[in-house]
Amino acid sequence: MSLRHIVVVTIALAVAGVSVVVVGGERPEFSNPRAQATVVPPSRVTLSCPESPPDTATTTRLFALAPDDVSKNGGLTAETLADADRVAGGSEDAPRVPLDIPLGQDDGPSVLVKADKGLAPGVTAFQYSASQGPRRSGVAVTGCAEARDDWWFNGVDANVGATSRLVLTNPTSGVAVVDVLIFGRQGAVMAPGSRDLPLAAYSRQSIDLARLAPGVESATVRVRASEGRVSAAIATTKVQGATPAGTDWIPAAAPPAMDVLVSGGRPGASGQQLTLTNPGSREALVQATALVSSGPFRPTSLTDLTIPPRSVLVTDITDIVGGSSTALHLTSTADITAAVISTVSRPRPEFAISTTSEPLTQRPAVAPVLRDLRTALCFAMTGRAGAYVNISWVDATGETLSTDNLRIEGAATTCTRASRPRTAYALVSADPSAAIQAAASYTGRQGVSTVAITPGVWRIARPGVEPAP
Amino acid sequence: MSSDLSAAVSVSAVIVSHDGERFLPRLLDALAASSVSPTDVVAVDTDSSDGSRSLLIDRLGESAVVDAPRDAGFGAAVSRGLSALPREGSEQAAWIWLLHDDCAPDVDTLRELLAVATSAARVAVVGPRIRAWPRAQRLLEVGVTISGTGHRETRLEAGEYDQGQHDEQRDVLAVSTAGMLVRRDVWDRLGGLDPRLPLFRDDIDFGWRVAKAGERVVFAPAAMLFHAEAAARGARRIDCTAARPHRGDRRAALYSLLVNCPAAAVPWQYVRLALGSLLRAIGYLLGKLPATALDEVLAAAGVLGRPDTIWRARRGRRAYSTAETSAWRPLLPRWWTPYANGVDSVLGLVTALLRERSSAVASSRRQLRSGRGDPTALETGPVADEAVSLPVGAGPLALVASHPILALTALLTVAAFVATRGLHGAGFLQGGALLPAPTSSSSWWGLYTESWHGVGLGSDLPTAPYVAVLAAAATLLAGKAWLVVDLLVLFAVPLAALSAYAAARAIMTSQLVCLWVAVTYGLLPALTGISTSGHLGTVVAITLLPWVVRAAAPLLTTSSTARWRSAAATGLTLSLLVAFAPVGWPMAAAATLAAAGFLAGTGRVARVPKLLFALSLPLLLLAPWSWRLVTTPSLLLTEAGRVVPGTTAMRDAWQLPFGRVDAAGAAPWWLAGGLLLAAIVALLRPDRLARVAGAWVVLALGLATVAVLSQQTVTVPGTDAEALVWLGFPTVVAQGAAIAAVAFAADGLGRVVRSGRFGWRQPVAAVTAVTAVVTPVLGLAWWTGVAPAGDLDRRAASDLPAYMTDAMMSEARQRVLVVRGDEQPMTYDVLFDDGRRLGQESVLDDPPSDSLTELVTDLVSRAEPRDVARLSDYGIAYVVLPRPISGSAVAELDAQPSLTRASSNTARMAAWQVSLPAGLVKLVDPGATRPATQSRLLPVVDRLVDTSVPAGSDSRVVLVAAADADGFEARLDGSSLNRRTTDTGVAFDLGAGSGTLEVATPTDRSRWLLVQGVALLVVAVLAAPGRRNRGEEESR
Repeated sequence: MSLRHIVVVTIALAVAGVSVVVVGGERPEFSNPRAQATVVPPSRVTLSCPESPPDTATTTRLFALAPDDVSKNGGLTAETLADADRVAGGSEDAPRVPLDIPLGQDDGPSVLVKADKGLAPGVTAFQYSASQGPRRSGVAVTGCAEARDDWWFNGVDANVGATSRLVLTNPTSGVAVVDVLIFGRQGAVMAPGSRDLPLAAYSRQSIDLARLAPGVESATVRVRASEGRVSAAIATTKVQGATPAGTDWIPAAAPPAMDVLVSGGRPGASGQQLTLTNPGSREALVQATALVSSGPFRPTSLTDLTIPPRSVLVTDITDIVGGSSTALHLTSTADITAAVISTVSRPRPEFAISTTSEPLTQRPAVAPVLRDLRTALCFAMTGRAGAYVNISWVDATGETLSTDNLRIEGAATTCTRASRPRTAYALVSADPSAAIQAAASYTGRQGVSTVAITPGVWRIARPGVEPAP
Repeated sequence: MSSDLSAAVSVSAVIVSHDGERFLPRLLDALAASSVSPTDVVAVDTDSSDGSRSLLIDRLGESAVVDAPRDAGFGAAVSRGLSALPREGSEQAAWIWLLHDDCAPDVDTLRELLAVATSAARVAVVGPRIRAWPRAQRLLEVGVTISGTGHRETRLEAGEYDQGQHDEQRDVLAVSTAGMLVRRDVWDRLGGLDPRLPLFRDDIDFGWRVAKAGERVVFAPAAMLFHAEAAARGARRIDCTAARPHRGDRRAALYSLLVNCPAAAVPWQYVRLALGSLLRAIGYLLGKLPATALDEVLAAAGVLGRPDTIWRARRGRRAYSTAETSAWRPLLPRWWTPYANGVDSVLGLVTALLRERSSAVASSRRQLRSGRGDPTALETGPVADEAVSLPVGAGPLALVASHPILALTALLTVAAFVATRGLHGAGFLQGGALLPAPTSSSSWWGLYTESWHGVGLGSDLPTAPYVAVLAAAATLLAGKAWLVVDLLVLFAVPLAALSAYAAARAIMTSQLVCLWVAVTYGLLPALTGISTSGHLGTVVAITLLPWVVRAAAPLLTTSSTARWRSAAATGLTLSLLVAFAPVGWPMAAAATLAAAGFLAGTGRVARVPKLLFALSLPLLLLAPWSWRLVTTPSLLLTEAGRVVPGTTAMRDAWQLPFGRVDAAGAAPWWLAGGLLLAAIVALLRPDRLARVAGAWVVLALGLATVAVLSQQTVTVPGTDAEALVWLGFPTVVAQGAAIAAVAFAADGLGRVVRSGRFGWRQPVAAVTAVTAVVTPVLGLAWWTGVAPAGDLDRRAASDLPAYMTDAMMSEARQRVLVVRGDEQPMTYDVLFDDGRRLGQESVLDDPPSDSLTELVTDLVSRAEPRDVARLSDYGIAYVVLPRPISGSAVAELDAQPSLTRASSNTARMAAWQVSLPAGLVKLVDPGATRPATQSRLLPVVDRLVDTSVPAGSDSRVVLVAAADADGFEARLDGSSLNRRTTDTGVAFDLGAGSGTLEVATPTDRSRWLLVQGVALLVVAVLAAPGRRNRGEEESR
C-alpha cells in the first residue's frame, strides 16, 4: 500500500461524499412556462333568435344591444338564417344604441344577430311578441342565444290544451346532430325519432313535442348535440277550451346542479307550480328555502321532497309564495334543475315561466324595458350578507338616464321597477361573488312574461395549448 | 532399372531446381532408392544461388543438368529439360515424371504411378498422394480441382491427417506438378504447361486441358510423395513470377477459369469474378491485409482487363478440345462449394476457439484440483501426433461445465422471461422514455440517411447515430425493428451480464468472482428501474460499458499489448456507447484525464496519445451529429428515447449511493446495501489497493457527475418545456465501479485469507463475502417475483385508425393533428409518416412555430373557416381528439364546414377530416376557373415529386408544407423555380408553363454518410484482431 494509493482513495472518498451531499440538497426549482388559458373578448358573436311569429295576429320585435362602450369599432346586424346577406331589419354600428326592429313574415323563420369586433363583447338580444288572436294570446319574451351543445328546458307541456314546439337552429357552417331527451313525472320518456336528428348548416327544424311525447305534462326537455352546436328554444301555447290561455317561450335553464336558485314567484299570480327534475340515475332529496323580500323561510311542504331518478316532481307553491316576488333556493342530494310556472287569470289567462340562470357579473347584463308593459327587475341571492346591484337606466340613444345602486338583502328577493319614461333598457351588474340572479318580469294587458337577465358573452376562454412533449 | 516395368514403360524424370540445396539430397536419395528407376533423369537448374547446381552435377553428372534462367517458370524449365532428352523414336520415353526439388517420392511411388497409368486407356496424367514434408501424416493433395471463384479445391480440410480416407483411385481434374506422371505424346500435343502460368495453377490448367482433349487425369492413392511446398510457404524466394505470390496466384486462377470454361459462360464468369474479387478485397481489408487486397484488385484488373489475351488462349485450346463439356464438368466442384467452405471455415473457427477455451479451462481445473504446478506437465511425455490435436472437454455438458457463463446466461434469460411476463404479446413495447419502434428496419435506415425528416412539420437536423446502430441490428433480425427493442429492453439483464463477464475475464483471474460480477452488474438495469422506465439509451449503455472497459484495459494496465488496436477498439465501443448515452463522452473525458495522470505518474506517457485518440473517435465517427453536441452541449444530457418532462432523478437523495434513480419499477434501495458496504470494505485489502482505488476513482467520478447534473435541467426536444436531467447512466457507472472495487478485492482473496493467521480479516472477509453474494441473489428473487412493469406497456403503436396511417404513408404524405386533454394545458402533436416512433425524437429541436400553436388554439376555442384552410396549408388532413375530450373543442370543430366527422372509435377519440386538399406538396392555381382545380395534391415518392403538370395561370405556385425546408429545390423541365418562404413551408413560383415538375429534398447528407462509413470501416479494421499469415502459423 503506497502513499499515492492512500491519497487517491482519500480523494475519491471525499469526492463521493461531497457529491452525495450536493445531491442531497435541493434540486433546482423551475417551472415550465406552461401554456396558460387566457380570457379574451370575443371578436365575433352570433346569437340565434328562435323564430318569427307564424301568424298575423302576433307582432314581434327584436331588441339587440352591444353594451360595451369601450370600443367604437364594430358592427351589429340582424340577418336571416336562410340568407346571410340579407339584413333582416337593420344594423347598428354604435355601442349601447339598441337595434330595435320589428320582425315580419318576410324575415324568415329565424334571425341571427351578429356582432363583430368592438361590438361583439356582451352583445345581447331579445325577441318579444304580443299576440291577440283567437288561437294565441299573450306576451312571449325570450333571449337570443349562442349555439351550444346542451340545453335544458323545464315545465314543458305537451298535454291536451297545450302546444309545445321545439325549435332547433343550427347557425353554424357545420352539420349538427341532436338528441332530444324528455323527462316526465313517470320517468324518462322513450320518444321514437328523438335521437340523432341531423341539422344541416344554417338550417332550422321545428318539432311538435306532442308528437315525440304525447300527453306529457310539466316535462323537462334536454337537447344535446352529439355533433356540432345548435340553438334551441321551446314555445308553448295554451288554450282553455276555445279560449287562448297564454303563450310564452320556455327559458333555457342552467345545467343541473345540487344547489340551485329559481327566481320564481311573481306578484299577482293566481297559481304557481314548482317543477323539479332529477335527470340523474339516483334519487334526489331536496330541501327548499323561500327567499322573499323580508328574508328566508323554510316552507314545511317543501321539506324532504323526493324525486325519483330521471323524473319530474311538480308541486303547487301558490300558498307558499302568496303572490309575492319570491325566489326558491333548492339544495339536493343529486343534481337537479327546476322552474316555477306562474299563471295569471286577469285580465286574461296567461302564464310565465322562470328558471335557474347564470348569476350577474361586473360586466353589465341587459334587461330590455318593453313598451306597453310594466317592467320589474327582481334580484335574489342566497348569501346572508347582502350586496348591491348597479342598475343604469338608458334610453334608445344610449344616454344614461339614471343609475341606481340597489341594495339586495341577504337571502332575500328584491325587486325594482322601471319607472322612468324614455327608458329603453337597463344595464345591470353586480359583484359576481354575491351570486345574484336576476330576472325581468313583464306585465301588461296583453299578458305576462319573465326572462332571465344574464350577462352576454363578454369574454371567451382560450385554452392553453402547447406542443406535446 | 531394377524393375520389370522399366522394360515395358520408359519414364523420363525431370527435376526442376531453384535454390533447393537443402531439399535436393533427400529427393536424389529417394530416386536412387526407388523400386522402379526412371529411364532418364534430367535436372533443370534455374540459376540457383545456392549449391543446387553443383549438387545435381555431383549426383547426376554434368550431362544430366540443364541450365535455365532464374526467372524461368516451371513449365518453361520442364520444356528445357525435355529438350535435353531424346526427341523422337524409340529412345524417347513414353512418360514424363515431373519432380520439384522440394519433394521426395516414396520407394514405390513411380511403380504405383505407372501401374495406374498402364491400367486403362486414355490415362494421360497420373498424380500421387502428396503429404506434407516433414509432417508425414498431413495430407496436402489427393487430386485437385478449381471452384467457380478460382479457389483451389483439394477436398481436404486444413491439416487433415491421412488415415486411409482417400485410398480410392479416381479421375480428377488435375494433379499437382510435383510427382505428376504425364504421357509424353499428350504433353507434346497440348504444348506442355501454359507459359502464361509460370508457377501457380499451371497444374490445374494442364489437367483441365487434358480433360478437354478427351484424356483422363487419375489420382493414384497408392503412390506417395512428400512435398515441402517451400515456395508457397515462403521458405524460398520466387523469381519466376511477380513479387507478390498472392497476386500471381489469383491472376493464374482467374486466367485458368476464363480460358477453360465453356464459351457461353465467359460473360457470366467475367461478372462473377469481378464482383467476387471486389468482395474478397473488402474482406482482406477488414482482415487488415491491405497489400493482399491490392493484389486481389490488381490481379482481377490484369486478367479481366485483357480480353484479347483470354481470347487468344481460348482459341489455342480449341485446337485440341474434343471432349464434350459434360465429360469433364463432373470434375469441377458444385457452384456452392466455395460458399459452403466459407461457412465451414467460420464454424470451424468458432469451434476451434471454444475448444481452445475449453481445453484451457479444463487444464486449469485439473491444475487446481490436483494442486500441482504447471498443468502442461500433465501433457508431457510421448504422445501420438494425432492425440495432440484431440479436443479436451468436448460435448455439450462439458462445454457448459467449462463455460459456467453459458449456464448463468441461460438462467438469467429464463429469469428475464419470468420477470417480464406481463410485457410479452402483441403490440409494440413502449412507455416512459421508450417510444414504439417503427414497423421495420427500413424506417430507421430512412430516418438516418435522409436529409430532411418528415417528423412533425419537418426537420433537417442530423439523426442520432444510435438509429443507425438499431437499424443495423434490426436488419440482422430480418428487419424486425420491434424485436431489437424487445431484446434490448426485456433482456437487458442477460445482455449486461454477458458483457460484464467478458470484461471481468479480461482483467480478473477468479471465475467465481467474474460470475458474481456478471450477475450483479447484469441486474442493474432491472433493479434500478432503468429498463422498466423505458430508458433504452441507458440500457444499451449498460451493456456497452463493460466492452469499453475491456477494450481500454490494455491501455491502462501493465500489459505490453497496449497498441493502437486497443485504442481503436476503445474508441469504437465508446462511440457506440456515446451514440446511445451522450453523457458518456464527458465522463470518458474526465476518466481519460485521470488515466493520463495515472500513466504519467507511472512512466507510461507514451500511452496518453492512444487514450486521446480513443476519446476523439466518437467525435469523428458520430459526425455530423456529434457536432450538434458541441454546438448544443445540453444534448449531452439527453439520450436515446424521449426526455420525459418532469423527470426527477432522485426522490430521496440518500438512496443515490445505493444506485436508486427515481425510476418506475425500481427495487427497494436496501437490496443494494450490501454492495456499497462491500465496496467500502474492499479498501481494506492492501495488496489490491491500486486497482480498488482505481475503481473508487471511477465511482467518485460517477457520483460527482450525478451531483453536477442533478442541478441541471434540459429542454425537452420539440418543446419549450424543461425537465430535470436523467441521471441513470452516471449512477450506473458508480454502481459498476462499486462492483469492480468489490471484485478486485475478492479476486484471489481466498488464498490470502487461508494463508494468513486468524485475525480480524477472516471474519470481515466472510461477512463481506456473504453480504456481496446475498445482494444479487435477493435482487434476482425480487426481480422475478415482483416482475415490475414500471412505465412499460405493450400496445398498438398508434391509436389512430388504419386509414389515417395509410393517409400519412400515402403519396400525398398527409399529416394528422392530434390534440389531447380536456384540462389545461391542452397539447398537440403533428404526426407524419407512421407517427411518432423511436429515433424521431432525435431530430426534434425547436418547438413548432407560434403560428401553429395559435392556429390550434383557435381551432379548439373559436374556430373559423380560415383556420381549417390554414390546416390544409400545413398538410394536415385529419384532426383527432383522443378522449378525454373537451366538449367545447369538439363542438367548435363540428361547426366548421371544411371539417367533416371521420369514422373512428368514438369511445376513444373524435376525428375530423379536412375536406380541403392537404398534403406535403400541392399545386395551387388561384387563377383556375373551377374550385376543384384551384388546389391539387402532388404525389410524393421517397420524398421526391416527379410529375408532369399541365399549363395554367401565371400565378400558380407549388406549396411544400415543410419546416426547415431550406434545402428543398423545385425544377420545371430542369429549370429551377423561384423559391419563397411561407409560414407553413416554402412556395415555388411555377408560372403558367407545363412540363415535368421535380421537387426534391436536400441530398448533402449522403456525402456525410459516405465519409462516416469510410471512417467507421477504417476504425473497424484498426480495431479488429489482425490475421496471422500462414508462415507465422506454421512457425507456431
